[in-house]
Amino acid sequence: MSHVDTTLERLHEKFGDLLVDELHGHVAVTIPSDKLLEVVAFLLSDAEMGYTQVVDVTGVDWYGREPRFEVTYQLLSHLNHSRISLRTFASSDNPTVPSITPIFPGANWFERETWDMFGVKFDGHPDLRRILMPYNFDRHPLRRDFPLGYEEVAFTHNAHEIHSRKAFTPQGLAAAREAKQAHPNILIGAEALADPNAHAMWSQPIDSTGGMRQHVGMTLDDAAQIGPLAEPSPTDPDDPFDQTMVMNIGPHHPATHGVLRLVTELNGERIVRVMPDIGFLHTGIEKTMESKSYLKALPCTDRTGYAAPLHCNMAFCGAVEQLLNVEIPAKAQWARVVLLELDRISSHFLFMGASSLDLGASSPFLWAVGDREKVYDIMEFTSGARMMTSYIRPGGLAYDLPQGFDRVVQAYLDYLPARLDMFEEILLGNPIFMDRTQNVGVVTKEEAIQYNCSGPIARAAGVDWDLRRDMPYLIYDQLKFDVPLRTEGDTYARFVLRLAEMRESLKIAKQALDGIPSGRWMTADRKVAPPPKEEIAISMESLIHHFKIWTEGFRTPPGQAYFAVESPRGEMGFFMQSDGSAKPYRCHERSGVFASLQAMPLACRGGLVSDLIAVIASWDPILGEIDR
Amino acid sequence: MGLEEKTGNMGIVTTSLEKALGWARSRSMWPALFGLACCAIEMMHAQGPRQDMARFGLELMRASPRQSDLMIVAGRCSRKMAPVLRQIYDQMADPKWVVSMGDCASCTGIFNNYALIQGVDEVVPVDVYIAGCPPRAEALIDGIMMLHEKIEREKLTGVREPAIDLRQPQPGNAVTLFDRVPTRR
Repeated sequence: MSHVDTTLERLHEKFGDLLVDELHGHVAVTIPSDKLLEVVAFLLSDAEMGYTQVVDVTGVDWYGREPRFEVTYQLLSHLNHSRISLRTFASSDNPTVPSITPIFPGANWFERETWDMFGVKFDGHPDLRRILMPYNFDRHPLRRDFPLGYEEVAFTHNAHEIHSRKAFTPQGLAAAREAKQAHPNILIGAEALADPNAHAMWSQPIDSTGGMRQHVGMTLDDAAQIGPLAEPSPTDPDDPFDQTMVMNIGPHHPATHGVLRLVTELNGERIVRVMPDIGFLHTGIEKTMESKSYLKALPCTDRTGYAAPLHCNMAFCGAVEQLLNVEIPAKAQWARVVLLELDRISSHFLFMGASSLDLGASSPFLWAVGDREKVYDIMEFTSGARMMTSYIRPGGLAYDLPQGFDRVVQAYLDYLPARLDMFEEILLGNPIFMDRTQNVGVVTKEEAIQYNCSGPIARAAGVDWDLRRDMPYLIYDQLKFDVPLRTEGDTYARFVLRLAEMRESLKIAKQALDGIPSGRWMTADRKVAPPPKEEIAISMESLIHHFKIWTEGFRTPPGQAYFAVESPRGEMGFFMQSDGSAKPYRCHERSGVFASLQAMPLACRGGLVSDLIAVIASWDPILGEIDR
Repeated sequence: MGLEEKTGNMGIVTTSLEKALGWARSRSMWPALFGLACCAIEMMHAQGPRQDMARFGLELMRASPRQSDLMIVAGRCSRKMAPVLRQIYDQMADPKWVVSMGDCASCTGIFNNYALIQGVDEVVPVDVYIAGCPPRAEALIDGIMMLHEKIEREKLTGVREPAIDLRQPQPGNAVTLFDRVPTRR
């Protein structure tokens, strides 16, 4: 009896009959919203079932049906290596479900995102604010009745007309001001620039009383409610030298690795609290993907986690393949592993380079970029693109591996160990570096689990969990490798761990490269894979079939799927809701660093501002993945 | 700001001055570090050992807009980010230039949706557009060299030439990768 069956039995014993949906191994239990808290608390507290994390919370809008909103929860058991999904529903007139943040703080941002995107309220959430969209936005973009927001594309023949409607021309500015008067609360695009307040918001002086804090939309009392930050500011109101001030870091700051904004409250150099503000790179990728067929949605995934685009491809393809229940040929599986590990190496190189640059070391940056170039060369040789390869496709690979692939990869794998030794020597053995990172930004094991950390951040804190080993996908179960583990949980441990992971990736890539069998690179299932080119030349049916696959796309059976891979930044998962059509009805990307960034304020408590820079660097945030 | 306001009409003197200034300005640009998304990775690679933008006088990316005169908008600009982008542009010292790197910054490429500004030229005046998703590091360097040529042609009147559009070949105002006459340096 599998662990999922045991869980279902226990739930049945305790809560009576519950509706269970099962599709290709993905088990979803429908829970009435009034019992949700009880069920989640029961699952998380039961030591035998061992559910430790609610890795993903997201919504589905069943527009036109009642109850309209669905909220899904993916629970992960570290003990039994199994997952279960919970579903609950909320009606459209008052979409409210109980918040699970009080019992599992790591769900905090996921619930905020669901509120932001769907307008589902979470009863009992400590800090239900918008997270991705601007604070003054007053709608919920992932609802099905919210338009994708198509703007006319300006070509040479109509550019003049289109530009005359935009705020950078005088006519357009007047029109935008008019629109602004009609809808005072909505600031969309260019209109935002016509609004003097929107601009002033960024130019106000930052002071400790109003200013930034006003804009952030939270008072200190509100901020105090964010879980672990609830400790009062250590200040004496009568002492003028013992006051806190709010300092804004980002969204444009060299050390934030993109457009992350951190509102920090400082007492002198000491950090009292940090409030991350994300959404500056919100691209509406999930909404865009819902408007495209599965194949056309794939390139969007590259552009989310752009430091490790193949892992995004893999997570997406895995979810689609789970929906389709399609067999992947062995060659594709082995080749995917080689490419994924190269991808991990290149992502960790980016981390090593950019992070050490933040800490003032510029040589490792140049070395890392140089070594990344070589991965890009391999990717270009294989797929034709340096970065956004979209090489992993639902059903296999985009096309066959090029001749000489093994030779090129082998040469790189032989070249790397000496380079990694150099990194270890210059960076990890450097006393200045050690001083700046050891015992800085500590996250304990319990905090890492509670705040939904995964990947290197959790492993540096002692959580012995790697999806490649513990819930293997592709052919990882046939390979021999170790999972590096540290227990310190500090910034230094996260650096050391990632370097160790690169060495393991080398090992994995070597084994996988030696094991690549010959044969098909794309599934033989003609419902998914287009017919081979040589067949198109001689067969009319194949031509039609090819045309249908590329224009219409393949259909998936209705149902849900959740597939996760171990990306360089933790668990990268895709939640898919299919309605039987050729486009995903709902497609949600669960990013590892989106979840684990919640734990960063904990790591910064009581540290110095300069330590904050080291801590952000060690988190390796990729904002495309966080904001999507 | 800058020399433009002080010179006035100096006849033949300005012509030589223009040349000297254009040469000097184009040879030592200080790009602001304005990486937004994926293109920023390629921008880093352009700074890296293989492409090495320092060969063209772009030694160092400046973190402060006050110290820079070139903004490479590398990546997609969301509606939440647009006011920030504009503010950073306003903070930069004159004379200043903007390179719109990649499809998202130029016209948002595949993301024609609610979240993004449809091209950063809605927010800041752009001098060079570079196509690609993301453009290779070499394409960025090509765009920057074109910007150099444009700066060298600039007059002290303060009037700017129209933007160079690397997105589609347009004989006339736009110079493209293929029809450009190589200049001796």
